[in-house]
Amino acid sequence: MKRPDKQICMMSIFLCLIFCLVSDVRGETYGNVPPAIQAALFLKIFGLNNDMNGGKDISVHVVSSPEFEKEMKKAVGKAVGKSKITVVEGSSELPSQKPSVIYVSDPEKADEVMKYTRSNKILSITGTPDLVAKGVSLGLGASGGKPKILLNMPASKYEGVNWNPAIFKISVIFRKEE
Amino acid sequence: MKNITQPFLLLLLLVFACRNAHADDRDLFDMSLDDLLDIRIESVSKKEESGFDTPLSSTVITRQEILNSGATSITEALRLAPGMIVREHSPGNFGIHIRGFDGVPPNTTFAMSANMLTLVMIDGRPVYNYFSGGTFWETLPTDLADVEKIEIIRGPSAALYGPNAASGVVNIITRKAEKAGTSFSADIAAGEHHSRSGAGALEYRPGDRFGMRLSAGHRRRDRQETEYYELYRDIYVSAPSELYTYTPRPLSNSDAKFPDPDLSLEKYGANAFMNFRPSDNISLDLSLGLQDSRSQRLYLDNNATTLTTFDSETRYADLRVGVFGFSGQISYLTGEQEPLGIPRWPYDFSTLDILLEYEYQGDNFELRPGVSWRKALYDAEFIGGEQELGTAAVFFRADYRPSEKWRLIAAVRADSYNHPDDIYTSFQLAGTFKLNRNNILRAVLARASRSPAMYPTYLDFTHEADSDKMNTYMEHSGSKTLDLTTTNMIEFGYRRKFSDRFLLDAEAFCNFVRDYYASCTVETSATREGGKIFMRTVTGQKNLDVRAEQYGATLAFSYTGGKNFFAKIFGTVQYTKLSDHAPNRYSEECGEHTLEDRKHSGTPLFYGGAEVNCRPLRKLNLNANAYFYTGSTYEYKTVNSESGGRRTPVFEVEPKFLLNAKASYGVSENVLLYLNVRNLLNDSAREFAWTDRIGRTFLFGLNVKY
Repeated sequence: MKRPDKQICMMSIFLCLIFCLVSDVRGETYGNVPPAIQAALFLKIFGLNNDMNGGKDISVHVVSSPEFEKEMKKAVGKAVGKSKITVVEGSSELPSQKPSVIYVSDPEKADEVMKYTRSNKILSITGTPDLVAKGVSLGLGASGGKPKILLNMPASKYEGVNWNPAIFKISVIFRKEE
Repeated sequence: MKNITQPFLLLLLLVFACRNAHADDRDLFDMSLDDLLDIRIESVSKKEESGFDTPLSSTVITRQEILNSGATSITEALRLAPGMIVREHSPGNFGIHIRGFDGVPPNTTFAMSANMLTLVMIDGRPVYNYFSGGTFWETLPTDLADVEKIEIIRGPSAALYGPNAASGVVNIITRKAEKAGTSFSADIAAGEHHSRSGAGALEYRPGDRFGMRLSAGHRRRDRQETEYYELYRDIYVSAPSELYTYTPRPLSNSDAKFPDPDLSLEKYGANAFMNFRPSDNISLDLSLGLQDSRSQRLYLDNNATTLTTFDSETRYADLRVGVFGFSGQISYLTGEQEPLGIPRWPYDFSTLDILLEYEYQGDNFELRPGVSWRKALYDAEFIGGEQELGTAAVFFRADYRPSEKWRLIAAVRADSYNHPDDIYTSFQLAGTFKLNRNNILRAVLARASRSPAMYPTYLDFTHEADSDKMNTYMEHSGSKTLDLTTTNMIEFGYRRKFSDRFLLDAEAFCNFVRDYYASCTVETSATREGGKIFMRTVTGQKNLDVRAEQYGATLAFSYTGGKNFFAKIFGTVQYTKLSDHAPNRYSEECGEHTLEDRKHSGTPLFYGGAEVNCRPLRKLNLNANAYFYTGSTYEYKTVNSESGGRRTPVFEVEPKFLLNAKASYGVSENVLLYLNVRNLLNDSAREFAWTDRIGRTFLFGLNVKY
């Protein structure tokens, strides 16, 4: 190999450092949790929602995520406390009837979904970790090779979610929105 | 290959016995919230992601899989992964290669047979030994009790992980304190051939933010035979004192060189792991540890036999810090190591590694720039005192997902060395195309180099012996201008999920390696003055013309039936070709510099493994695993022989089929008893040239946790 000028190397290091300094300082990043694990985890976490486990039927609407929809449909009929999952349906649009939960993964649709869930007091959930910081109430992300529960407190308040305090011990809490 | 019907029947029997276990399988919805949050999500390319989507050829061996398999060491556990050539040279001492290139270049010393092209790390801390290059596995302070998982990446990966990842990476991830409060665990095992091991760990986790783990372990394996192979007479002798060097004369200081002929490996290690998360965006991880080991293994040419006794005492500290998107790592390793009884070869050393990187994540892309700096200091007589090898590097990685189907990764790294005074660029270009949720295609183009090492760079060694009849003078020197061995690779892969339980992973690869180097004779003469003979030999480290090409494919099937049943089988077929190989590396001035193109048989044509694990009862776990390879050939350097001429010893490594089995029974929630049988079929073929035969070994063990 021909020897390039070492100054080029030093310049590259300098540029990288500059890049780092001028970039947005971001929080911890999370990877995605596989849909099958997401579905199983959300089913358990619904049990920590005091409004959901008292005996009412639970319906889940999935926006533009057929993989998750397929996994979540396997939970139909399964119990959540005294309640059970009765309907899981999916579409690329908002639901025509008010569901108990809306799942969103597409960042482009997140704002529209959040506006709807907040005005209708519906729990919003996601498998896209970044959307929790942006205002989805409940999400799942992978960190350290394991799933983590991501909980946005202000968003939960806007959606009128009444969490069992046990969830706070096992979740990563977001106390403000971006 | 030997009769393989019997072992396969045994594996099938186990599958049959476990058929009902599958019926008891629970699905994810039946798992508790705690269990779901404890599920492992495989990771490569320094980012958590689904194992199915990983862009590189990779395998993760989990702690549970290692425990189930009965592997007795980290090195033995590597037999559970595809693409690994794992040879046990003497009990507990292994030679590890990723995909191949064993014994390249041929006709060199035993030291060159070590794998210098694989980067081994513990929690991202390189444990590469810069003495002559490679990994001294028995000197790792961590052992199985500390391992959470082992990540293996096949193929050049220096752009992501740094120099020496020329054929791949083995990253050992250690355990963290996870259970709230104080907990204790211990594992002891003992069995035939004075085999014994013990490890204990104390964990303390007062809350979510802080955890501490203290561990200590000991392992001893004895040889199963007492003979040593002698190169000069091509015979096995019963004691070190009977060995002759090929000078020829009786091996001097044989008692000092082989103080414990029965011992194969004895190691002690202790570690402290501390993890602190003051906030969600800040993390601090500190690891401290030390080790003390003695082994008899294939390592260094002592001019008489294959095994060398090697002592090592090392200490390390490793600090990892994460602050928002920045992450840094500072690690320091120091110690003393000695191939026993070889004058001028004991050395002290220290290695300091510093890494700083930053991750920026956009909507559909991720950028990771970083810098690293390394300084290795070795102090030994054979290199003329204290010498330094230094590396400064800058790297950049981009991960772009233009659509749900496409993913493109580009990584580049430039390493500037002090010797050779040069900059080496490594890169990795990878792309995946997801046909649908069950099918993914991938391709990788990569280049990586190994780093310089002390021995070839700084060797400064003269020896003179004088008697009435003969004066012998030898001069060996290194070179600071050697081109570094470099690998280029192209790889194509395909993964298919036949169902959520059944996965196929296929890959085809071509590797091209150049710029090997080795010791070459640059001057040799014999003159007679009066009645006295004067012999003069001068050698130097030189780049070789030889280039290696490897073409191969790996196929792996796995079937996961929940917690109660797991099975996999994998195999690699490969062909390696050498161009411009010089069997006798004399200089052109000596007139013996001939080059040849030929097939290289140092790597088995086919190698692979299989595993079946099942839990027929809640308290009983059964595991059978196999590792097999076809024959190969090792070609040693040309040496003097008893007949008076010179010969080039060649060893034909026989095919081997190793079948291991482990049965574990949970006496209570906290106590587990197990029977572990290694090499159940007692196939005692030597796994490498003139090394030890290792037969069946029964081990009984106890595992407790509170």
